[in-house]
Amino acid sequence: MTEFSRRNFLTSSGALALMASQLNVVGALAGEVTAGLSAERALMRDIYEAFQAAAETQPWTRGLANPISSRLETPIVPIEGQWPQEMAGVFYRNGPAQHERAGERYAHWFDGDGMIQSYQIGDGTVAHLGRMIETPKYKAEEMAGRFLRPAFGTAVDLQAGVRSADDINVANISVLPMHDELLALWEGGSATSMDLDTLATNGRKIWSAETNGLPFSAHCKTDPDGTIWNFGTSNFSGQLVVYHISPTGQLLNVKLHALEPNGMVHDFIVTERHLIVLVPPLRLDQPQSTFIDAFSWQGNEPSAGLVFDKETLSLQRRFELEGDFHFHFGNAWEEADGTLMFDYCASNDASFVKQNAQGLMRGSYDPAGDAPTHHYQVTVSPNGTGVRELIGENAEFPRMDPRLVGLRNRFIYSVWRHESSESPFHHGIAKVDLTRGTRQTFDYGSTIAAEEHVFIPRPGGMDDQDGWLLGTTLNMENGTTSLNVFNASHIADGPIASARLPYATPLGFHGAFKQMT
Amino acid sequence: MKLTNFARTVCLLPIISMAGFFAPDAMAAEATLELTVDGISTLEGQIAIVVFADSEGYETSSNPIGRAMVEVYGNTITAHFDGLESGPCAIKLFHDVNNNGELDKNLIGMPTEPFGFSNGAVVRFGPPSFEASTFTLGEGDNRHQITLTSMGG
Repeated sequence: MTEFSRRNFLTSSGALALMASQLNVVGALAGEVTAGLSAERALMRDIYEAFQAAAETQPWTRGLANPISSRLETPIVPIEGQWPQEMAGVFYRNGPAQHERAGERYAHWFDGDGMIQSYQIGDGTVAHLGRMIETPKYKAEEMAGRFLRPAFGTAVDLQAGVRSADDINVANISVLPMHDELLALWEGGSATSMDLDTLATNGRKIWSAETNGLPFSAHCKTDPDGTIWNFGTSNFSGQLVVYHISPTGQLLNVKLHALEPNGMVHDFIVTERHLIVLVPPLRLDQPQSTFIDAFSWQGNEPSAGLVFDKETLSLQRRFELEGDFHFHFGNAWEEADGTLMFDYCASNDASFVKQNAQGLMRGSYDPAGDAPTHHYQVTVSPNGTGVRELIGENAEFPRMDPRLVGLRNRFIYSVWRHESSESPFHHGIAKVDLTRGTRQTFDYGSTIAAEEHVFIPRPGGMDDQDGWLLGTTLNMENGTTSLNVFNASHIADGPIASARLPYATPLGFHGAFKQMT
Repeated sequence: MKLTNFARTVCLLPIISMAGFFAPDAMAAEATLELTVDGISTLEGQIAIVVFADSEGYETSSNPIGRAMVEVYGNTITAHFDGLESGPCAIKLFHDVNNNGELDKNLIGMPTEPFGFSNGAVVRFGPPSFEASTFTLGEGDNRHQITLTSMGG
């Protein structure tokens, strides 16, 4: 609520009637709750208290705690081992960080305001800088000292005026480093522009007048020539938008399509000539008090594949695949006869996003209630039938050589965990050789939570294992985060070096390495 | 409310007039309205204002009881309406920054120019209802204030 609203309450003739009906909001403005705690606020207090209690006995809860400060900095991070001298650039990561405020905690892991971690790497050294993304929501709530606006999985305040998705933009999923700005990516609304070096927030990214405010997913794909492709979904208006952006950040083409079927789409893949969107059977159902609750799992339905032509951005064909709930894809390519190949990680149902991610925020984790994620490779024949083949178990966050986006890759890297692990998080990494059908793993151990690891080609490297695997881990016992680097050809040997921070960064989602030029 | 309806209900005809309409009904009392619009952040273009007295007019942007296009001369402008009737009143307005006579929108119909509704009505993924925007014009002189807002973020 803005200053004008308070004045308007006091001067307009409708003020008294409005005031009565919005007593909770006026009370919040005045800094006191005059009409008693709403159900939404009471729930957030309850979640906060449950998490506090669990934190006393469950080390894994460290992964979902707020950062110790909104700004974290370590100019010279102590390194164990020998950091590769030839690695030069910045590794950026994003993830939800502001999980709680003023004794209230969000209901869902995906809710919290985003924080960027940057690791500047060069000459065998590592420097760390982490900063909260100062979206309009974050700034308003910092000023007020409490949560004001709805989130993905928490209603917060049913009276809050939300003009558009960007009012609740938490910018917390991924990053796209560009030539002269860093984009913090969300999916419900715009990307957020930030400074590559200082991590100061510039503001909402506007590609063009007609795309101003449109949803821009967290999983844009960059072709080997630098062309950027992305999609966005607006579930409540049943629309899908696809973007074609030049290597220098100019919007070249954009097209709107009906989102049919209307489901939750998080990621997509590209081939040399096509964009592939796969809609899982988690479908928009009835409006509820939160976004995630408006979706229901239709386990018997197939996933629906939509294939768009890169030249025109028009829908070329559809295919179906056995239904499952997937977040992330690795890569895709197209064979000469039109067969599409891609890999992704999926579980048999949507229980993680619909229930388990809420349990974690209360400090509850039951290994028996986990839906394991299967890593599949899919073949879609030219006539449209799709078949999944299992290539790994308990894997997530698949990543590969960025020089092979949309082309046939041999290796695919992921994080991994034991089926029976007592921690909700991954604790190892895996590497699949798609040509030989073999898999290697490395286990960091049960005290560690491993985050997404990215492949960085060695400059002049000859194939997609000639390079490094770079990723962060949280030590849940001592509450410190480390950046680890592996020789990608021999991941089973463990990290060749680790740079350990004196604090923990909240467990996040996705990152990207910006090569120094 | 669907986002695609947003622009349709706020889009206005390019009428340039400061006068309201005389009400033929002899029973209602005469009223005037001084409307202040603030929160103008770009000193260009004009504020397009339309005033309605009933929900059908408001929803379909037809049969206004008053309309005005006021050139932006500061962060706050004032529009004066004479010859109104006492009774319900709901106002929709937008800042036509580029003077093209239209409320500019993005591809999914969300406004990309600033806009406002009377009675402090709150926008929630779509325009507020007539009920939320309505206030009452009393007999004689009335004052009202609307602060411009924009799409969000």
